[in-house]
Amino acid sequence: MRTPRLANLSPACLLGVAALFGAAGVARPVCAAPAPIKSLAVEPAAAVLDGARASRTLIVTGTLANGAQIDLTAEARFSSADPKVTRIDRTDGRPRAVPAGPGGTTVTVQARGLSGTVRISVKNFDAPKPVSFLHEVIPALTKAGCSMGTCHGTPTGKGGFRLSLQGYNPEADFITLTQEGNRRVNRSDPGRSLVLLKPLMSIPHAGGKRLTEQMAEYRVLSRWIAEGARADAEGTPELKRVEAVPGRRTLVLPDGRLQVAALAHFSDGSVRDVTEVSKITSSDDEIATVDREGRVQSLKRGDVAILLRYEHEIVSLPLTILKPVPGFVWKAPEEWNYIDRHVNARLKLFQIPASPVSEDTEFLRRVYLDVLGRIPTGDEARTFLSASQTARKTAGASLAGTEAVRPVRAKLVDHLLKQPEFADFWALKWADVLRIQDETLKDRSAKAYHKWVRDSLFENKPLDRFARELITADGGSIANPPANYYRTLKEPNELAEATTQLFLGVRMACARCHNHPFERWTQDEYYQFAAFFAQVDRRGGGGRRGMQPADDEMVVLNPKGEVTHLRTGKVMQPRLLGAGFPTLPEGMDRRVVLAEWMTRKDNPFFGKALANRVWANLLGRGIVEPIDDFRESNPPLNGPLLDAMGADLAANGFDLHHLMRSILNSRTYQASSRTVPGNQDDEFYYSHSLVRTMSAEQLADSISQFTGVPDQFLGYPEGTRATQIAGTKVRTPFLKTFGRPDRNLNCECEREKEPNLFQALSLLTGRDVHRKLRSERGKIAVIAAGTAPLGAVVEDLYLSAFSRPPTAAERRKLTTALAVVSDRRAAIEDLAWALINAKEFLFRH
Amino acid sequence: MISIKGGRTRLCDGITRRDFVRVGAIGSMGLGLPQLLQAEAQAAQIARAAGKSSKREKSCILFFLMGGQSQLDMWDMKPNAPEMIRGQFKPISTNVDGIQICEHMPELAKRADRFAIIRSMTHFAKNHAPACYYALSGTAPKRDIVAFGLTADDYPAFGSVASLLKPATRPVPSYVQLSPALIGDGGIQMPGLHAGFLGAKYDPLKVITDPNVDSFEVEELSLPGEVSDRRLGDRRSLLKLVEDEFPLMAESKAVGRMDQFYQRAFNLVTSPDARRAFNIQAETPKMRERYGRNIYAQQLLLARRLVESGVRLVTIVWGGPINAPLDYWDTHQGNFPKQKDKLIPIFDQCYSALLDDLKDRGMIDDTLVIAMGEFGRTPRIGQITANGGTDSTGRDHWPFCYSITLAGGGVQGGQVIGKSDDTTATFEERPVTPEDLTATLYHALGIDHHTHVRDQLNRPLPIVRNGEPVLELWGSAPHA
Repeated sequence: MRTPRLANLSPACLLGVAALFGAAGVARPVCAAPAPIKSLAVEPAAAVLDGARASRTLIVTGTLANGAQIDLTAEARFSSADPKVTRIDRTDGRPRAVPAGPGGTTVTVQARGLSGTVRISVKNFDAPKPVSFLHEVIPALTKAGCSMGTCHGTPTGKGGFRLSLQGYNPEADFITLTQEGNRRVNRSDPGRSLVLLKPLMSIPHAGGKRLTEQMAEYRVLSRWIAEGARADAEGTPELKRVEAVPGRRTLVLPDGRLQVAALAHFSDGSVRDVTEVSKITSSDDEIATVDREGRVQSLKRGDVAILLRYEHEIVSLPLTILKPVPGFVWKAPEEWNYIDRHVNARLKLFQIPASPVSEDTEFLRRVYLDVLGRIPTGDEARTFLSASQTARKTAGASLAGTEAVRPVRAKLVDHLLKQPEFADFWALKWADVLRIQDETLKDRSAKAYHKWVRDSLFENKPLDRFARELITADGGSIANPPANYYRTLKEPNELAEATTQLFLGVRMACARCHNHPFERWTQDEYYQFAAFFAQVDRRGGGGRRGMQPADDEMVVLNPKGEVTHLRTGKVMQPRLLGAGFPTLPEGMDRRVVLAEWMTRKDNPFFGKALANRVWANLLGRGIVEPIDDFRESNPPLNGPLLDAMGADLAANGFDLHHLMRSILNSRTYQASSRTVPGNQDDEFYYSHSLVRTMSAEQLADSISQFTGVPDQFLGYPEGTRATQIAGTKVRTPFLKTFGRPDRNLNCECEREKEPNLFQALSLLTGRDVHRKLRSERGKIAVIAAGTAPLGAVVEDLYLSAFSRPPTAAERRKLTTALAVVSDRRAAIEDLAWALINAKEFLFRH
Repeated sequence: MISIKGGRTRLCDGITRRDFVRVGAIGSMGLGLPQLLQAEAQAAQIARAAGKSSKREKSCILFFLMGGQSQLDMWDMKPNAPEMIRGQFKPISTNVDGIQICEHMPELAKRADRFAIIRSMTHFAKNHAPACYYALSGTAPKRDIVAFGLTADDYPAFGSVASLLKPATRPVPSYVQLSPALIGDGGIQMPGLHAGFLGAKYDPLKVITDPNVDSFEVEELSLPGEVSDRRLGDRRSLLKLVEDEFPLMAESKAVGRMDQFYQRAFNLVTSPDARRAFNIQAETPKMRERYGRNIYAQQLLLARRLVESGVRLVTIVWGGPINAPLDYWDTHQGNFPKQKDKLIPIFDQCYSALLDDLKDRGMIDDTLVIAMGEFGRTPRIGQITANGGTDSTGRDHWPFCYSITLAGGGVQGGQVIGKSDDTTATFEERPVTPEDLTATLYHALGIDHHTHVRDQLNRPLPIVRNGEPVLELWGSAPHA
């Protein structure tokens, strides 16, 4: 076999079927004997089994000739040198060493002709080891699903039985189980306990059959009840951390299997395999699934995390799944800067070809929309296209076409970043997530706040300063507009949620009421972070809460303010996210300490979170998506790229223009949206430019510009563009239909991005567009009144609508079609209507 | 497009806002098209599987009477109570033994065998906005304050959940709101009518033009005057010509979805069938008279047409605070003349016309009709609970015990559920909360009220918290 892509075999191939020849006569291992391995390793090399109920998962890994790792746990054979000490239990499909008696022995593992060994020692075999409520029962209830949000973990419980969500409140759960009557847990007749009978469906259970008597969860629960349903003894060791084994892996389809296991480390130094009571899930079941025993099966190409939850800890094991593409030959796209290096590395790994560099017309329209929020005018298009043509001609044959125009494109990028419209358009994005709305701020403050954001962008204020000014703001809401940060939201809790989401890319809201269900943040950490905002207060507002807010309000500090924990009622000390408790000198504004930490160059969140925001706005998809939801269970699509951009931002003084230039001048950004064979399905790795709908404001402004008829927004002078509206008081149906948010969330997700029927209707029959086409002041009227031949009219409208001249065929066909319409005005109206309704107009591509 | 300046609001809360209200607007995204397309395909499948005799889907008409009807003056009269409580109206007998209602509802008295009265509705919210939120979403408001705003993480309206879980199976919207103004959008923010955390695509299709006006049309579903059907056809060919020359656009999924919406939009605008649902002009003058020639009556008639064409839920909001053309149920002053001269006769006529009409068309068994407000009115005349402007001729808000009516959809008429005390100050038997009522509405549409939906943070949340359907309505034993 000349093509040793041996991992590319279906599981059936592992049974050993002869190789076949492909139709083209090329030797292709459709099916073959199992790939030989050059080495074999077993995890762990040695293990201590403490107590008769301990066990340890055995994970077998082979290394192929090409260096790739393959999981052989399922096919390996295990034999214990002394079955009286340990034996191998494979009944659940997860091979594990279990104790049979005291002593030490060796387990031999064999696969594909190689072997390895595991040293096992069993201690405390005869010592009693009662079931731990905290370390076994609570995790078992979580794993069985009893305490999940849709079942008894919902705040009102189900069927009169309420557990804390995923066991975040074990003390309360203990009382619920043992002290609310004796039917639920029946100490005198354990087998009749409802918590055992119901999940077995021995008696009716609205939640259905959840357990069998063979399952670990059932064994734990029944044993705990049989032992008297007791609380843990004083001095029971605490959980320190959970470890996921075997660690980060790349899996190759079609095999793509992996055994994972969870190890708990306790305060007494002991380590226990807790796989059987850990809840194991996949971050994306379309990419890989995992069963209750920790057996992963990959399904398709991509990045995925396997999450292992045990007690309040959740750890993730990142996996990359590859699917070799037969006959794929990597043609490295050019690297214009570091961004391309990281993007290309992913494309190469996943075997996705990159689309060619965009045409000048394509790039031109795209960069105007992304930076200024509108399409280029006909004149702007002519200017750029002529400059790029000149550059190409001058370069002649000595340079590749794209290389010649790169400086021209870079020059356009520089030019656009200096335009006031850039500040308008990007202020709009910030205004959305900062919730600049008239209801909470009132008109004058909303306008002042918006202007501050806009001016900050226009002067390219470093993003760290921008964030610091917001976080530490106080004073009058008109005199010092960033103080409005503390008027859009008032409760420390809400401010903690907003601040982490906006600047650190972390969604904490779940931890308000309970430990975060799929992230490590605990309820304690939530209130500790909220404590930074405990002393923010307001004066001169509209009186009692719930009344109308005042137009101008003072944000002040109240040194007495504290935050208490929702459940425990304890006063919380401010604690930095994922870091320690800072020292807070007496009288120090806590927010200053927070802002200083947040915007440090080495802050693990800030740079990456902002880089991801900017990247998502330019490329159409965040490296982490949703863009403000960084967590281990939501792996980035290109971690090294995100790290590099975060570092680039920090190293350059959090200069937004610098980061935008890096992105906009990358080949990745400038790739065509036209797909090539092999990348049509790629929406994640930036092999081609993503086509997306224009935002409401982009579309409104682009239509106004194209028709030469500006919108009139209530309270703003004529000619104000939609991107320039400060607050939310202007509510036109057109903007709403196209997804303009009401700014009630600190989340870009509030902006609707999916196309819908009413958008089609409002362009097709809507009176807004109709009026602009019919306006006597508009461009259509002017062109219709002129004498330019239809061919020239087509030429002109194409350039101002699509930023490109029509092709010869388009020009000919349209001229012919329009020539039969006797009314010149109607003909031109109809053409303009068709151009606006064309997808080429409506989409950024 | 007609734009008007909003007048002063007339909601008793005293929230006065001038705002820009657009007449003829259509709510964004009410149709929930992805589901619609999917649902259509499913429906076709079901129809194929079941032969042509596929059973009619369940629908609901919610006649929302803002301000709340007075239980004492209409449905739960206490002729033996002191005058300051019983008021000026007298009870009359109905065609059901033992059920009496207000003398000013003679038509409904003849049809009492066709609707059920719940006399023990109860909750705590005394202000309009939180009470509307409670009544329509079935979720208790966090605070009972006048300025209870609407937010993106609100619990969804009953109709929004229905359009998610039981979308219309014909090419019509799932959830339509007929109201005299853009309630829930600009001007006044009335929570409880919108999709909340489900996202705008489950908001209702809002029609705020007056169907009582001869020129009534839904703007987005009709063409501008200068554009004939033929010219639209020409434009469509021109568009095709332009797009055919730029084929790369066909490669994106988003473009493909937009293209589907364009096809649908062309169909809605050009196909007579699709226009028919809103074409109230197709009703005979006699039928229109039968309901009554006023906005709410005609909205009720329009609701019947919409349900007939497959719309899942139509909410008629009687009581737009802005430019409301007629008085509504918030009777802080002049309680008796307002009800006697305007509110009750209009209600009596159109509600009974609807019951007859649904029956005549064989739709009554599949259409649940519910008439309710967000609360009732105070037992004692002139008593102040929420609004200091209430005078000695008015009744203030009273959420603690009030009455609503339900009909159709298999509900057994001629029954009274629950019992109030001597003055309707509180319930005596069988309290029914907004949670229970919402569960009841889901039950009527065949939606399991234990279903969970997901919010923006992907949290699973139950569509009903702590509520159980009022099964007695269908003649079953109450939920244990």
